[in-house]
Amino acid sequence: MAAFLVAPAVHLGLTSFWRTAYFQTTHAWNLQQYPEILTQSGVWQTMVRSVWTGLVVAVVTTAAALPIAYYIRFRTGVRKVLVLAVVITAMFSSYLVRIYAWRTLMGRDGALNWFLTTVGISKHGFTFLFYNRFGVIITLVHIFLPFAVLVLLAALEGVYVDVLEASRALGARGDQMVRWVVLPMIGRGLFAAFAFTFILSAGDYVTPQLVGGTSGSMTGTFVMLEMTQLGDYSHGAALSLALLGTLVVLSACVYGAGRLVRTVER
Amino acid sequence: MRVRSILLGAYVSIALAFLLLPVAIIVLFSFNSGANLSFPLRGLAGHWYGTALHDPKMVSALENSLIVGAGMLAVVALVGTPAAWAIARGRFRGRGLLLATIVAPVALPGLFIGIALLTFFASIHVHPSLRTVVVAHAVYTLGFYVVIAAARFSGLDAALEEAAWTLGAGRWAVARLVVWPLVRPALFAALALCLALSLDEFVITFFVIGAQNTLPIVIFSNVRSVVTPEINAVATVLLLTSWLSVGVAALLIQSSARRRRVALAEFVEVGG
Repeated sequence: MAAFLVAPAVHLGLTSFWRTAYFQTTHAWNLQQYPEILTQSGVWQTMVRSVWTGLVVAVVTTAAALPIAYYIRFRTGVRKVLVLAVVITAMFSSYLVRIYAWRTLMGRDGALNWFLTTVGISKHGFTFLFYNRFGVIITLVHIFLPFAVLVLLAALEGVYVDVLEASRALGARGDQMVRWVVLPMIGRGLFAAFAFTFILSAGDYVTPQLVGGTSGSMTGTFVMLEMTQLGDYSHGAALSLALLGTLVVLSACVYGAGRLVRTVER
Repeated sequence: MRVRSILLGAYVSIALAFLLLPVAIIVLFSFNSGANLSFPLRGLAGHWYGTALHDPKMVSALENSLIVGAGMLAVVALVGTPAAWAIARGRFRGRGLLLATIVAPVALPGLFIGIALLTFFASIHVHPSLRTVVVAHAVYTLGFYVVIAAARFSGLDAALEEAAWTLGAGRWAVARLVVWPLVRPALFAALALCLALSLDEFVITFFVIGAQNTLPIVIFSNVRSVVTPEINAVATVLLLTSWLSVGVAALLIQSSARRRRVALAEFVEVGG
């Protein structure tokens, strides 16, 4: 089964150096795909937008998930179980249904605008909410928040109440405790939640297509079009691998920066 | 301190509402008697479920989803169980690499897995069908299964197996009478989780699906073009099947933990 991942992955890499026309790949070397990505401004712009969207989503998701994970870790009884149950329920609520739900919510006649006009906040409802990048970001944060909570929860399992009490006994205020005790202990978990969300959200192609409109389109959508409608496998392969490469390199940079900050602090 | 705690509670409540609200609205709309997907609701009725149930497209999509799920479970159980055992118990070179390869699809965007399989299948002249979808789902879910199964296998006390050996049990008897009852709940729970992932899988499936559609594919094509209200009913059914699978997994894990605690208590009582 592992071979069914490795062989196609290698094949995808090779395809990006071959030539494809109308779904037919010929094994002729073609080194033009990658330089083209760099020179075609439209392609380049969507790539930047994908990475930027992914970064915003990852930062917002990780930051939003931390208090929830903290709550689950240090509360007990019904509240802990309830919050955890909601997070897991949300995680296993169909990905597609959730995107579709946001589309329904944010549309011109959506629940959000109905609410806003009924309450009287806005007369005709807002239009900036839907079919643009903002909609894409909200939807992606919604999709990855439960994952991030569970990753951070796993990291927080290693932080014991005794340690927090010790720091408090030594005179740390709440924010100092979080800054100097909790955060350094869960550094890896923070990075994992960030990188996971960053790579998966920047590589998403369904959300931008369904809620993104024209200003929210991302590289993934282009790759999907190449692969399923235009039939240029080589171009799609090169585009997707360039994106994946960028995401992995950027994640590595964030990891390196995190290490650097810690070394400087010591 | 008090204020901080209240603020945290308030934030968590808002975050939970944010997580649940969109899904709740879809479920609510599925009972809307009107045809419009907008507020206010016309009234509550269940007739969209009837419409979906009599729509041959939806019924065959549900069947296809279940066929794919069953195929995926068979592949994952047959391939994943020995792999997990090897990873948990084996001491061979490349063990880490094997695990990394199996787990990689968990952290890779589905887009890459999807298009890699698409071009690969095209190059070996395998036409997209439910069979290619089964392979795709197995590649995707195997990582989840192997991680859970390997964790359970590592947690087994090898002394139990040795005791059974000493008492004259053969290889098969040890596996069937000692190991299997201990690992069964965890393995079934892992499979239930894989089923939930498979039933909902869209991102990879989209690239390897043939003429026969699964439920998420039908929902997608519906959402992209004209949204009919019956899709809310179908979406709700999809949500329920996922939650049910995960619920079963959670119950299995809980009951096995409880049984182990009871067994331990009895052991202590008899021994003490």
